[in-house]
Amino acid sequence: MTIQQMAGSIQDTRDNIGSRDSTRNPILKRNAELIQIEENSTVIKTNTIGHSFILGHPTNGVLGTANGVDGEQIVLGEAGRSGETVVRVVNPNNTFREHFRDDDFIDTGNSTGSLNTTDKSATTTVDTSSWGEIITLS
Amino acid sequence: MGRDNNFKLKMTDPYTPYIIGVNADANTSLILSNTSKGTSLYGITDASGQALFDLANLSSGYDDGDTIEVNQAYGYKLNNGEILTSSSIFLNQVTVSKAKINLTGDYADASIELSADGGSNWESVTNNVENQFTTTGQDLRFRITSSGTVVLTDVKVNYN
Repeated sequence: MTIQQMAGSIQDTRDNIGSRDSTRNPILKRNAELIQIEENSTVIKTNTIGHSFILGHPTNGVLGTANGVDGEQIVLGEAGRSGETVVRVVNPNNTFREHFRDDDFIDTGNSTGSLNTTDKSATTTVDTSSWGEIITLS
Repeated sequence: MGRDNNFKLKMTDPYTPYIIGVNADANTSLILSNTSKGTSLYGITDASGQALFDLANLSSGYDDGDTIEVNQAYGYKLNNGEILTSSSIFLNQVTVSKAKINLTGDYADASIELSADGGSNWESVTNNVENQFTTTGQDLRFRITSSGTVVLTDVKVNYN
């Protein structure tokens, strides 16, 4: 038996002397949760590239000449783009839902009403003095 | 007050007409519910932030002990003559032949229209009644026109 083996044997003996190890594995309590997620509409939009510089692009990647897809000089950054155009709108189960949390599906140019998207951080007080006979608040 | 921080009133005298006033931010959509009966009223605060609810307008009325709850809600308000027009709500190179719209809120004074061709032709429809389009198309939209005060908190459109 080598010295190292003897030392290991002594250590094993020491480990089994004394009170029982009180270490416990933690028991993690897991609460079952049901999270309801509503799938909303999917919108696909397109945009033109204008005369923005695009590295490696056969047309918009060539500098020094006015040869962008719109005939303009290629420049860095977004330039000459037409703006986003909606090409697809699809909804789950063929059902569109508008909750008025935003104006994404409101044609603001042809709508004249008022959209309220105030979130729950807004403050409100109940006027108990002017109207009604409010008995209790809870 | 927010959607999760509402207030509740315990009614004690069902024979006294109640008008409930609420102060909030201007143009805040509100839902007043008789949670004991499952009926609701919809309102929106004016520019000064005030809204009035007449409990006599609750279809169920209320009884002694009923709980009245007021919540803030997202919504869209239309005054007399105002219009809400949607952008494309379905656009997928598929022809729409029928659709049904369902409004939530106070829409008694609302004229409802649907278009299947991107707004070129509008067809008058009835809430929650399926409409078979005379002019079909591939771009579905809705339009609401108010002849009074309309408060919408939700719009659902189901199509073919």
